[in-house]
Amino acid sequence: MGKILEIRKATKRFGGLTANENITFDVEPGEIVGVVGPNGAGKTTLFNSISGAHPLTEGSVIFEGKDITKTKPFDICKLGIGRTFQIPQSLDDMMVYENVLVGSLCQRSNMEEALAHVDQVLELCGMLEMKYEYAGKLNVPQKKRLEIARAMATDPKLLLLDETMAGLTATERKEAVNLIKKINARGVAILTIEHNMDVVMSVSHRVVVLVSGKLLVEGTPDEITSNPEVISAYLGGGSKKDE
Amino acid sequence: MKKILRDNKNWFIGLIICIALAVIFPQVVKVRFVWNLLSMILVWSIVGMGWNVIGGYCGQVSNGHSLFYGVGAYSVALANSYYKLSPWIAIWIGALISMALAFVVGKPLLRMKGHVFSISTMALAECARIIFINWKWCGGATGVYIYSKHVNEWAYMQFKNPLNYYYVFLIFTIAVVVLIKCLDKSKFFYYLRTIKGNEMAAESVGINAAAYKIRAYMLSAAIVSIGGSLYAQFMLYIDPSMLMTLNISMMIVLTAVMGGVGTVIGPILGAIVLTTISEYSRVYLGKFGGLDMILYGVLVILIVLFMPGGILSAVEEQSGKILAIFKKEKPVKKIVEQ
Repeated sequence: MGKILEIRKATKRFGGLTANENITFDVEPGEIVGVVGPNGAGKTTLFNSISGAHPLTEGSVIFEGKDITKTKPFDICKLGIGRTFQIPQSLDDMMVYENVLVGSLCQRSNMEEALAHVDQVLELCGMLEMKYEYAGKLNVPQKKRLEIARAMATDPKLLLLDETMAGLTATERKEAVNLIKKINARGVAILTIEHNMDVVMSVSHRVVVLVSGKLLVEGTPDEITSNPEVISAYLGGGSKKDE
Repeated sequence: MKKILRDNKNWFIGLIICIALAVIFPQVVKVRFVWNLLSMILVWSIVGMGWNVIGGYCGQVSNGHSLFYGVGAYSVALANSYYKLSPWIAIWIGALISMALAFVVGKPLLRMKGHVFSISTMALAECARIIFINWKWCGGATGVYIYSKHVNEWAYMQFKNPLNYYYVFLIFTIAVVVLIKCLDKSKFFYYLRTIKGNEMAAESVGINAAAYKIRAYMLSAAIVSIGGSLYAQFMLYIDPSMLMTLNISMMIVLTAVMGGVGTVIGPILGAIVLTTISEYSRVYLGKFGGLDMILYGVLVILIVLFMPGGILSAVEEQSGKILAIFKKEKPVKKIVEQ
């Protein structure tokens, strides 16, 4: 099978600031790829470029063999890339199921079908009991899960998760990891940004390390943790390795 | 359609009861002033529901909807005076013109967000007023008379009995309410709500926000235009200063906001309350030079103060409390029965 996502020499400049420079890597179908890097490394910028919010300055993003570098966000979603936001962008005046419904309507026009699909997605994400809750009343971990549910409702082949674990407690993190694994088991490829190294290492098949907008290394979690360059750049002299 | 009827059985039964009441009411209260008031309430209901599509559901607060109100009114008036065209046809032509206009001005305007959009629409309506004042073909500042003695009342919608206006307007209002109700739980309106909630999130779930906003703006313009056409037929005379002022734009916004934004029947409640207050205060206090406007203003402030979510949500809240009392009583009864 071909690659689901190919990023080729991706460069993004905001005026004089280069946020991403010459980044090249791939995502295979059904794979979980973790993107790590210190603050300001350009992880979210890269996500915005893939999802079409801020198109690349140079280079290209290829999804299932199709160049989507200049495609609009709503068309990219229809092609099969779902995304979540670092800061949850829930629709607070709407109920949980309505939040998911608008995602579900992306691939289906029939209301009954869409509503049935919403129940499936909510069950997958363990949110069925909050179905009629207003999204504005949810707490942050719940909102982050709702983000994933809404993105999942669009039937993505590739899911972009932007720091879904940040600010969660250890138990909540474990639940989230399970959810990501469950989604992945359905054949959805996942590209995830994460700060917490334990999570990235346990969940990802492959890890990409960005530092100052450049790709530092790429490899399996074991390779990354033992790479001296990564340790000095990101983990800070190996002190964290012992944890 | 069948499904909507099935899912909202109670709502449609309620609607039929309301229609029945609306039909009977003027037969009981035989006062010409009340009949005129009722007709105006219906015009404002239509206009408020129209604004609600873009302002309430889609969250793009347009302060220039008097533009479409005016276009609708001028369409029937000019069609009558130049081509002797019946308003029954001209209403739809006016709606189409308004939609086309909304498409053209909406393209650039809807790219703006929040307050900037509101101010631009306001400016647009003001420009339109000035154009119409100076446009000789459209009657200029003197306006256009629609009334003519020797036409068929029904063919040209020029009734001597104000009650006929009321019943005609009632049919239009029902049509618009049913239309909005059917759209209320549709993909289209869910998408509008999503855009209102968060445009970035909307685009991330595959919603072409710009395209949906334009569609909402066009639908909104068409409905408001129909309201304007009916108003022109009711007055049988129009001029720019009674149609396209900022005052009218604000009244349109107020009707929907006071009733309840983003709800089906909110604008109707808003129209009932606002029109009644404004007409009665004008009649009884108008002679004291502006006192009516002061009272009107004070009442509007009071309603906004005590019902910030609109009249509908306040009513729902109160009825919810009453229902809660009944619900609490129910289990007690069961125990007694057992």
